[in-house]
Amino acid sequence: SPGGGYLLQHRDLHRICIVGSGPAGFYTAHRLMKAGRDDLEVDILERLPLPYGLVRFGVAPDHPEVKNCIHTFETAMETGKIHFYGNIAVGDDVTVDELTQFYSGVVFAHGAAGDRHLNVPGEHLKNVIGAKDFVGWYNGHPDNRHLEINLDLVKPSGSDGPESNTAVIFGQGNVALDVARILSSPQDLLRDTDISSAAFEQLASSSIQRVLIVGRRGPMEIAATIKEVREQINLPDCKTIIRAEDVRDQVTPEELKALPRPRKRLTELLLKHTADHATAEGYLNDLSPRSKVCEFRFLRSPLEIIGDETTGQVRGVRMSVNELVADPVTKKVKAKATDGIEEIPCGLVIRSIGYRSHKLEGLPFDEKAAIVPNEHGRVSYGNKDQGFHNVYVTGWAKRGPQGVILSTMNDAFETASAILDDLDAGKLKEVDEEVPPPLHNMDKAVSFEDWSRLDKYEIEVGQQMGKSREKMNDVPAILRFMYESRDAASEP
Amino acid sequence: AGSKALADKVKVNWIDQDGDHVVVEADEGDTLLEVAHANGLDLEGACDGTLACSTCHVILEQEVFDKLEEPEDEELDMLDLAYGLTETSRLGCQIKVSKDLEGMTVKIPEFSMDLRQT
Ligand SMILES: Cc1cc2nc3c(=O)[nH]c(=O)nc-3n(C[C@H](O)[C@H](O)[C@H](O)COP(=O)(O)OP(=O)(O)OC[C@H]3O[C@@H](n4cnc5c(N)ncnc54)[C@H](O)[C@@H]3O)c2cc1C
Ligand code: FES
Repeated sequence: SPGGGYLLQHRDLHRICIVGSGPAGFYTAHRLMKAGRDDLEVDILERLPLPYGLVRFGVAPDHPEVKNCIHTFETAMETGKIHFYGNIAVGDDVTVDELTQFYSGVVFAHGAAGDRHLNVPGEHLKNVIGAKDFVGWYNGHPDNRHLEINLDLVKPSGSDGPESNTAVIFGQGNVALDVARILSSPQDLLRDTDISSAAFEQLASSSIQRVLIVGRRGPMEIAATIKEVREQINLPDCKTIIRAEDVRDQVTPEELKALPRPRKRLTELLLKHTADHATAEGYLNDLSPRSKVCEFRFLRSPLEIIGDETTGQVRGVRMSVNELVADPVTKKVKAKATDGIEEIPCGLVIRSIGYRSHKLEGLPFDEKAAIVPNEHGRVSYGNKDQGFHNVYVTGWAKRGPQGVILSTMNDAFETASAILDDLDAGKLKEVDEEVPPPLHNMDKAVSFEDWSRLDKYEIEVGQQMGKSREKMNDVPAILRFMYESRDAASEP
Repeated sequence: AGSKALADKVKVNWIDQDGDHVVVEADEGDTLLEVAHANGLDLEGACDGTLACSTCHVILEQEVFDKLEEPEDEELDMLDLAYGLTETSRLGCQIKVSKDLEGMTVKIPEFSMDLRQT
């Protein structure tokens, strides 16, 4: 039988499957291991042949400290009770039903792989790019290695009009600030990181000198955290402009005092920085050829992206000028368009208004919130099917695509607690096979050892180039390396 | 490190996430994060003490908090993201144990279930 040789003898075993190897998946595994149960093992299935999700493909290359959480994941692997199966896409290679049938419990930690659109005319134009793709491109994500992007806007479009040096980013969250920083950073701050070399080359010869970070609401609603804003303000060779009147009009000194600490400190930072200069225009005029300008623009929503009919190239954005209205009930501040309109010539538009989780076949999905509905990590199946389900969710798929690794970690701990409680209550079935049927004959799967060899190799190649790592971003090439180095590794 | 003189040890009281009290002998000069790890206490430290995560958030007593040098902006920036932030919160990776702090009590914040806040 296909199961032959996999049978375990006289051992009560619970086997948990985790779908996705980002921080949510790995922190869940880490927490499960901490319970120190002999009868518990974990399989992690990952679509890509490489682990760590957005820690590798999201976190900016100039934030290597953030990636140190990988050390915790490596330590968890040392327990020997976590098995990594890379190159296995749940939905394609195995179904959700197969997993829930053969595992004691299944945890969905598949993140949020889609991104949200602006839904305005002109979004199809060349050089209108989603932040997810742009971030994936500079971080060497295999899905984005062929991203069509042009940063040298002067020559190819034949124009050196005002649009040739300006990039507009829609959104003011941390991802938008990462994108702005990568576009406005001096090359020296990126050169020796693990940034994709191809992306670095293009960024190095970029004609972009001015980056606008546009928000539909005001400075009091910036979604980014203070660390990222401070970093942008302190960036060498880049003047970050926040117009004084934009901030001062929004908050009285009394209101400022009453704000929650994070919002208060961020607003104080903005106020302090705006106080440094009177108007932005001066900086734009004095711009030296090497330095850059980054400008926060508030109360603007995109109406249309304007393009060149013949080249299909973006040439500018048309935006509504908004005012803020507070919802009488929720007190939540909303942006409302006025009659005012502003047009800004630009050659690159990046939309950074959020990631979005997608539905996995066989798993409930809340279309509106774009999450897997759940209660403290236990997936909710709705009224008609209320019995016990051994299905859990964690991370961005559980909470929505927001929050730093800290929130993802706490979230993973909550889901792990739910699983451990259900184990203690005897609700999760035992399994009697070392390798569950859905993974039999999965020759394409790669292991953590395969990844570890690639990991070493990437660091070696990187060091020869004077960088911390050179990522491989081509799946067939990655697999070839992994399969071939397997033979070499097993030779005496 | 094995032959450290007794004089280099500082007593630190911990209150862990479950509210249990643990007393440990800490090496002078070690950070609270290192002390926690050396004694198997549940303090995460995801960024290895590089001021990039705030998973090492601890709560101190007022007197101890006042004795320490003011935190830098970078530490305050990370603390802004911490769950259950208090007036005497600090990041464990930034505080070095010294004789001056003998007998201090360090509380590890309770595990927060309220994840829907932003
Ligand atoms: C651009 C960007 C920058 C960020 N920078 C920071 C930062 O500086 N500091 C910080 O603290 N946080 C940062 N974050 C936030 C942090 O990355 C997230 O909190 C965290 O990664 C969410 O973890 P997750 O595991 O839920 O999702 P992910 O990290 O996305 O992991 C999901 C994993 O599941 C896999 N997967 C998806 N579908 C399937 C399938 N069908 N089958 C198998 N596997 C599948 C994916 O390939 C991926 O590996 C950043 C996020 C982004 C987007
Ligand atoms: S360990 Fe990350 S901030 Fe202290």
